[in-house]
Amino acid sequence: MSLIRAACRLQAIEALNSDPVIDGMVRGRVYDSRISAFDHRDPVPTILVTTEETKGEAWSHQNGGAPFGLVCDLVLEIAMNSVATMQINGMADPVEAIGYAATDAELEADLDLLEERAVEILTRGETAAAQLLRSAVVKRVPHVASSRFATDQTGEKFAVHLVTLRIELFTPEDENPFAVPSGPYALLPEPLRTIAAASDPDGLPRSICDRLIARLAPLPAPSEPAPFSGADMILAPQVLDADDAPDRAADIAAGRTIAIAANTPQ
Amino acid sequence: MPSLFSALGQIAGATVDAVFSEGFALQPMAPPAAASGQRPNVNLRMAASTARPQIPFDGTYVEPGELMNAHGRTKADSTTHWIAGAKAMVDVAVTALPQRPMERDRIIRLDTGAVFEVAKVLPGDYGRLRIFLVDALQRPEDPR
Repeated sequence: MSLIRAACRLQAIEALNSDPVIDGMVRGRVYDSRISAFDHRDPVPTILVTTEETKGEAWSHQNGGAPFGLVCDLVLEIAMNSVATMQINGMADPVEAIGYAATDAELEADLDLLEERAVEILTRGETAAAQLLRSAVVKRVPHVASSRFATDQTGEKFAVHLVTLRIELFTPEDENPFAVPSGPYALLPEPLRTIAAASDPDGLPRSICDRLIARLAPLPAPSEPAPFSGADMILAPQVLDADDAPDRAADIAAGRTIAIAANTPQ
Repeated sequence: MPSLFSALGQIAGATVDAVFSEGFALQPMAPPAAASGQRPNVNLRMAASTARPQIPFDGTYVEPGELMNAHGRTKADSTTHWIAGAKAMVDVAVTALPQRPMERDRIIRLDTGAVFEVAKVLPGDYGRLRIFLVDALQRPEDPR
């Protein structure tokens, strides 16, 4: 159930990085669930991707349990500060510092641009990564909310757009038990299996999926179940005598049985 | 020319270091090298940086214990259980480090061999830096 959230995060980051505008401005600084604080001297802009509140109703209200129709919040924190030029300590490449916003108006417009591109690529993007996100992970995005946060208490003018996309996730139906998944990611549930197979061998989704597969190793590999082919029965006529209990072994030994085989044609 | 307070602060800092400080090594880290034409992936495991060398330095190790909670975005911190922890920190003179440590750099406490990751770097008064650390060592297997 919750691994679909991992799939959502991993593929959303791939999709965001695949947008040429975001790639040009953010330069790969799209963080997955980053915990530690940002340093105000870190290069910006950055995008922090997290998946938050997840809720779901069971598909079967009578039986309950999985599968659930899941809805989760995909949260993007798009952060940027405004400095005309900046030299990052220890960073040889000064190009990293060029192109920053110099005024509050420029900063806000840049954040609006990033937000525009992020929502566009995640919900309507046509890159391969965005198409995979929409075809395998995201059923639809029924709601979006954006909040603005700003401060100059860090010694620099710094603003964040907090974008919350409510995502209806694809809940894969129970798979056909005879279509046994194969390959190195067979133990992963869909859609993570599809994403792992489609991802760049050096990329984040592959790295995370390899780690999950190692954790899943104690589980037996998926195998095709033996199909039900029928039942064999024997009938043994008995004397209606309360004191004469049926004796299965004696009936078989004496040949007082009628065999019935109810097998499906193979 | 530095102010009188600034100069005094540096002298006081040097005195504190002479009494309390111990040896550390800063191992700068960076995302693994990417194929040409690709961005380094900031979410992968970090590797030792090739651009910034390892630096030995002296600093004062402080580790006050505290009870803390994990933070959530939509619920109160007290929703989940308390955690007993220690906020490890190294207090150093800015001049002890030729470059400011960055988040996820490693710091090795030479006395004990303990390895830490830099969580955040906050400037202190009079030319001091406080480098907050998180424990980077793996816990021993101890099923209970």
